[in-house]
Amino acid sequence: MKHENIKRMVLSAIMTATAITLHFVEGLFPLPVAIPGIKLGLPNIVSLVALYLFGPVDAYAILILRVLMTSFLYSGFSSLIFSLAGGLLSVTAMFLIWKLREKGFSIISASVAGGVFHNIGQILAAVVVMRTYAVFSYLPVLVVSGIATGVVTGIVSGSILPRLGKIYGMNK
Amino acid sequence: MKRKDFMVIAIFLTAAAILWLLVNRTPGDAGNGEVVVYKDREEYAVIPLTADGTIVVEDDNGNRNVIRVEGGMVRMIEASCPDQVCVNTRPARANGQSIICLPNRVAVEIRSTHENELDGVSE
Repeated sequence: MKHENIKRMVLSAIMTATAITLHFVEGLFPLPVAIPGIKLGLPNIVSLVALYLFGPVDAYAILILRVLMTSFLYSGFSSLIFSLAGGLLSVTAMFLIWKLREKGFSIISASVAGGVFHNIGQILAAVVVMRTYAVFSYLPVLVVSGIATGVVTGIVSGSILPRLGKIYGMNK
Repeated sequence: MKRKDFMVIAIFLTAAAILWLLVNRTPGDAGNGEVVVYKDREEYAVIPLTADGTIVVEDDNGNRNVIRVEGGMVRMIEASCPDQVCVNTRPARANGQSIICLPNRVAVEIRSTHENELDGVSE
């Protein structure tokens, strides 16, 4: 293995661990909102930073590892479906905006799209699990909350990205 | 934040507004529907919307939901779940409206007694 590959692997492992920790931390401070599924999405910061620092392959790998680990550690199989659906759609949305990063879409756009599609993914999972289309009525609220939390995580990601890039010695 | 970031936010806000209008569009005729209660995906109870009554849904895990049908509308008056979303949901009174308790996997839906409004359901 080349030096660069080992470095990338170790940094990805660290980011996965960070994402799991953030998931746990988020569980300690539930938002005082009476709608389930509204979360700050702190682990999405890791997805974003990984995407902008290492690229889509690592971002997807970190996401899948994180979802598997958190589901087995804290919740269980049913939450695996929700997390995976939300996470995969979220990273895909971020990835599509990331491809447009030279065209004036900043990391905040990616974060907002990620937040919104994370919630859409969770609704879709709920439709499959509950077998009712009635859960779609939560969609408008969850889209708006996805925008709000996306702006927050986007600003955080945008401010840690250059610092982390300097520390890791990779400026993409 | 750049100008295009605001554009992205505006697009999603518009989408949310359109979705909201779609979800809250004038529902079908009221008064002749029936209340269907689902527990763990399965039909648990069906009572006409015009009748007054209380349905208690309980399972082996101690989850409990109490649904009240009164005056042509249905409310969730009690739930053992922590978030209490279903209890705070506004009462359902027209076809297609619903109240959902995701933690306890209980769904209350008002179904038209005239005809099936769905084209089909894929399994």
